[in-house]
Amino acid sequence: MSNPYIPYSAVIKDLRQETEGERAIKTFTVDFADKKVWNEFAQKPGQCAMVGIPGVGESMISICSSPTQTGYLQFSIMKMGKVTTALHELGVGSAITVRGPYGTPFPVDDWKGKKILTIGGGIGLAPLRPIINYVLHNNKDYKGLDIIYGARSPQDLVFMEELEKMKKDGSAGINLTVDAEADGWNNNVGFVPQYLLDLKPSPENTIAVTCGPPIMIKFVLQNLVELGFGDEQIFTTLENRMKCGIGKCGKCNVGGVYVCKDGPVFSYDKFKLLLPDM
Amino acid sequence: MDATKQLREAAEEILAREDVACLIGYEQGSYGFRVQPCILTDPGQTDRLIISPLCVNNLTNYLTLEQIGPLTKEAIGEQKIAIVVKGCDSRAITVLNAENGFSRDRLVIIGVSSPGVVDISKIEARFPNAVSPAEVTVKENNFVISCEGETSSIPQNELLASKCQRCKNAMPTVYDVLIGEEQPAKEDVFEDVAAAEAQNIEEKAAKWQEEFSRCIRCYACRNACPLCYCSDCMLDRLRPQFIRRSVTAVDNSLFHITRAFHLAGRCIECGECERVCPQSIPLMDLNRKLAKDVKELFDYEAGIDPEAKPLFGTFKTEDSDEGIL
Amino acid sequence: MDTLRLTKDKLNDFLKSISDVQLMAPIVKNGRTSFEIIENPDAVELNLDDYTATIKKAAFPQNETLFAYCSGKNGSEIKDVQEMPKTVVFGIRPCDAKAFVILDSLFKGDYEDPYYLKRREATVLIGHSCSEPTNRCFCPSVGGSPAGQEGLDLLFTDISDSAYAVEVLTDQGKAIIDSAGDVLTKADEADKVKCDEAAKAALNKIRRSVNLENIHELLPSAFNSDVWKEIGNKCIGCGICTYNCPTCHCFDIQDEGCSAAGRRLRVWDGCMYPEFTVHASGENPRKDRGDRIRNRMLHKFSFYPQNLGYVACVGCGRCIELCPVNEDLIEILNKVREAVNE
Repeated sequence: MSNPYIPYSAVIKDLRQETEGERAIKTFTVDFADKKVWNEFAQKPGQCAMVGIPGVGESMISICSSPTQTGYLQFSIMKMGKVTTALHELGVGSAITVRGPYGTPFPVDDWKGKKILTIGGGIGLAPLRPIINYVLHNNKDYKGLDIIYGARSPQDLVFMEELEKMKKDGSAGINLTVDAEADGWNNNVGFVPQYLLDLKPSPENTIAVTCGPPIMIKFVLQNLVELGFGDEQIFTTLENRMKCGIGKCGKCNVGGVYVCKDGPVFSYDKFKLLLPDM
Repeated sequence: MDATKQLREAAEEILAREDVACLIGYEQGSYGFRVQPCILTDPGQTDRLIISPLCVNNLTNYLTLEQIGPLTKEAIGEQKIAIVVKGCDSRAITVLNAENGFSRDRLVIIGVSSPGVVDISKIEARFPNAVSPAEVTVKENNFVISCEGETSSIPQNELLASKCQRCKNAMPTVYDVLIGEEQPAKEDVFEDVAAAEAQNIEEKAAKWQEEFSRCIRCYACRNACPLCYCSDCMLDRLRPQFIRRSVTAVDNSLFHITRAFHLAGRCIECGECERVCPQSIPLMDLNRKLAKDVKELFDYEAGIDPEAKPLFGTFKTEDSDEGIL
Repeated sequence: MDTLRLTKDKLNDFLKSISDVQLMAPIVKNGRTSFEIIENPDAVELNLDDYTATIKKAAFPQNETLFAYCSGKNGSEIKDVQEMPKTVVFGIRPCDAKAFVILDSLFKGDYEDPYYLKRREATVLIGHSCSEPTNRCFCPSVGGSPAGQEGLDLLFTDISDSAYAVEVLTDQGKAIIDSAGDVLTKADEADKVKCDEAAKAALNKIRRSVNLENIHELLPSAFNSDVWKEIGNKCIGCGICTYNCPTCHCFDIQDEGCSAAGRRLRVWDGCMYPEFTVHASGENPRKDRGDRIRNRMLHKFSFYPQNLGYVACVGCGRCIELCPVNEDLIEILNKVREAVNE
């Protein structure tokens, strides 16, 4: 019987500071200590992994790189609690552990031939990034990619280098916003759900995927419905306190599901069935 | 007059007041000898209230438990909470008031001069498998028990909770309305602690090693205690972690002894910790010993004097300073 | 399978014949029954009056080391340290045995949990049917019975003051019987009749029940009802119900030690504690006690049956007996049903 609680050893290959401050975000690029692990670890876009340090603990983080980015995994981690704070103190070359991949992925194959619209808030862009990178890599299979992304302030936006590159080379429609006016900010000002309504994207042959703070998700979902998106065209990905990652410890239990294994990706019709205590 | 009748009349009058939002009291439980806490908001509900030797809970616990909707400041604003307390229970109000944990002025206190409560496990062992609601009243020195259609009379000392057997303060120390007769306080000489004190250190260590090994760290003792209300309890802390989550003799001992010291000079000896423990650990033995030390070293008993300041929040120059560097 | 007979004076001999394995059996400490690994079968007490002891630890211990680690410059070495000694549990009640069957489906699930499953494989369950159910028992309401066989390898029933009937239910049970030699004899027809009668008599003594008709739809339909607030008001969030419940399986994972060496372990946790679902940001989706009671009821009577096929309750009534404030599961379900029907 294999043991799903035993993690793989991994090494930090690269670190990129995305935002600063008390709740800083860093993107970790990680490789397994034993290359043979890649034969088993076949992640799909939207899946997560338990990232940890023996002696400190583990935290469930979405894999923010696409499986088309081979030979490494990326995690964008915000410094919040015990484990993430310890991870932020590590440097390139440090050892960590990785366990997974876990969770229901985005059905990116079902979406072939469609336009993809990703709507993110704050660090919520991280779980959407595997879709973005997957679609860019396989751009012949999709009808286009649009990104609506906002944060509290320009300093809280992540992946800015990559977003600017996409804007420059036209590989995706980039629409950025911040909550309040800021020096040097020439793009939209306003909350993401409102910006979505202002942009009025057409639901025709389009899949919308959203992730961000719970309150943002709530209003984005409402507004997508208002814009005419059908339930089967809307997807979201959720976050909960998780410990085992495999649907046994009960921490992420919401409604009749365990977010770690029945989610974190939910289509809107399934999401509506989840009871409100999450 | 029958205590329950007296209580209901007082409660009806109190709940009808504009400045009172709700009342915490006791009502019939779901089976047999069980009684449950209730929160009433309407004077019409007061016929649910009872007071009897089966009313074992310390209702003051609810004053410091957060997350109880009807009792939060958001729900009731400046309105008061009425509460039914026995002698021991009332001492918690005094301690909470002195340490600014909960202001006495927010309460209308219905004090009950209690003849003592039964030990529920003893009475259930004596009258097993009662399903229909049972009743217990006091007549002279006996408990009169109506259970499953039969009535019996048992001498009180056979069923009385051990905390009541040694109780010196049956009369509430603070109240706005009194139910029952006044009872004089007696001097506490801590005779129950003497036997434990007489043991040598190896015997004491062995005894507590055995008791704590049964602990399952459910923390019911902490949650049932009205004086345990730190929003950042040392047990839940992760950074740093003071006590590990694993259940071992060492961590269990650390938990109980630390908690006992956090309560020294504050524990009002209601005995709830011992009553709720699913593993029958005699927690009151620890608390009683510390209460005795507090009395001897500082001439202080928690919650007796409504004017007294918190013991470890003040000092006198003549305080014992053994062990202070 | 066979039914055998064991006279009560030979019980010790039978227990002594179970060799080369650990024996876990009930003993009495401070007036309370507790299941422990015992060396000497003389200490066994099948105390029928008080049975709040929890037995799920036989497959799901309160502390379980997941692995030990040793970290250096080149990363961590992780050692799987599972040790699953063969164990015979004697004197377990049918409700507790059924609880294991219920937990099996969760721990098999999409990912097999090797700790629980290997321990289960290594454990033989010898049951003792109830002859004196108490005022908190309601196993028939959840499809059980005082002489239920689900999950058991052998079942002992008192058929008189001096003898037990022993029903052999599985091959593992048979192996135990075979090694006991001639301590047991074949039961005759009269013994089998007494065994049936004892089971019926015990069933008739159970006085409490709960209506579970359509409960798995009824509870979610009452999600937004105020009745949960009222139910939750007196709860003190102490966790006694979850720790003592034979089908509660929630746990926490903790690392102990320092960065150089230590272990990762899992420990029981309870959904009734406020910290159970609190996020690192401090947000708590189930802040109210009523919300947590609602979640627990939904989990046991709605989600677990829908997802894994079993009502996650065996009617043992420990939660009812041990709750310090009389949160009574039967009363809770009845109150919710009333609120929905209004």
